[in-house]
Amino acid sequence: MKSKITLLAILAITLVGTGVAFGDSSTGSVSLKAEVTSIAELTLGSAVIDFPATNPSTVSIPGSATTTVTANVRTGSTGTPASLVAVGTNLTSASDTILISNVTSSYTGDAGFFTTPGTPIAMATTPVTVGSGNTSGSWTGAFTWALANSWTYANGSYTATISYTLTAP
Amino acid sequence: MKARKTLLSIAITLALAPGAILGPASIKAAGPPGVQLFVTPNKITFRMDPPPSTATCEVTIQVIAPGRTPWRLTLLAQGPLQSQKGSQIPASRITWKGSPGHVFSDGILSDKHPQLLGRGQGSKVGMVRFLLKNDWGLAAGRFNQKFIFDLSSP
Repeated sequence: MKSKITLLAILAITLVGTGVAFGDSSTGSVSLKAEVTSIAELTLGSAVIDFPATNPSTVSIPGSATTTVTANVRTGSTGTPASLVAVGTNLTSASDTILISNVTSSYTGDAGFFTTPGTPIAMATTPVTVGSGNTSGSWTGAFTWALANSWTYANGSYTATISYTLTAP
Repeated sequence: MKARKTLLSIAITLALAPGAILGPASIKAAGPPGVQLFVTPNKITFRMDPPPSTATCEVTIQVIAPGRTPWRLTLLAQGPLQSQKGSQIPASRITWKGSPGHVFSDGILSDKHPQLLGRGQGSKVGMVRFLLKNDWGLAAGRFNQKFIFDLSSP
């Protein structure tokens, strides 16, 4: 009887010693994948900017409103950056034209995505980069406008369109 | 005396046997009944729509514990979600909601300390919904990581 007890005791110790799971623990794993796609969302505040008639001696005519641009971009941290470009048409009044390059916009706000705060950017009929970057985020900037004045402009009511395109590759 | 030596010899042989194969009866005799964990599916994918939507995934958890055997279930991420381009999403951005609530609790994922996901007695089945908060600050890419569920019974 004593021998039997000894055997059971040793056997019990043996089971513990060999590390055999007694079933008191169990693990499982789940592999997780998150697919974060590139997205671009653009919102423009003011859709109409007026430049009132001013004595041509006034060198620069400020625009009637500030345009708030919100660029929501989700882009990769490396590779081709997200970009915001503006393309304009020349200002026209009947057969008269004022080149769109006489219109400038200046961004005020934090650096990060929009191009060089405080530096006027001349519009063009070809794409002009207004913002660029590899950092995802929601970027908001205020753009003020100015039209270079000149005695050479013909009388008239001129209109032009500037289109913004935000791309997240 | 001889019988005792024989028994001792058998015991020592069993003790030294590498990778000893023990039958169920031996396990039952030696320790408490086992607990088992089943998590399905074992692969989940968050599809991140435009913000501010929150991506969700669900898993079913089944704990098998004989009788009223108490158990405790924890969850640990093996690190932040990682993309091939080197971007990361912190594990703590993932939260979960467990049901039924009296067994499986809500929580925030960690890759440093196991977080309590549930506790109970006896066999239970529940569901855990994982939520990955979305915003514009996330870098684009395909992110991967692994969760480890650890079920233990005293």
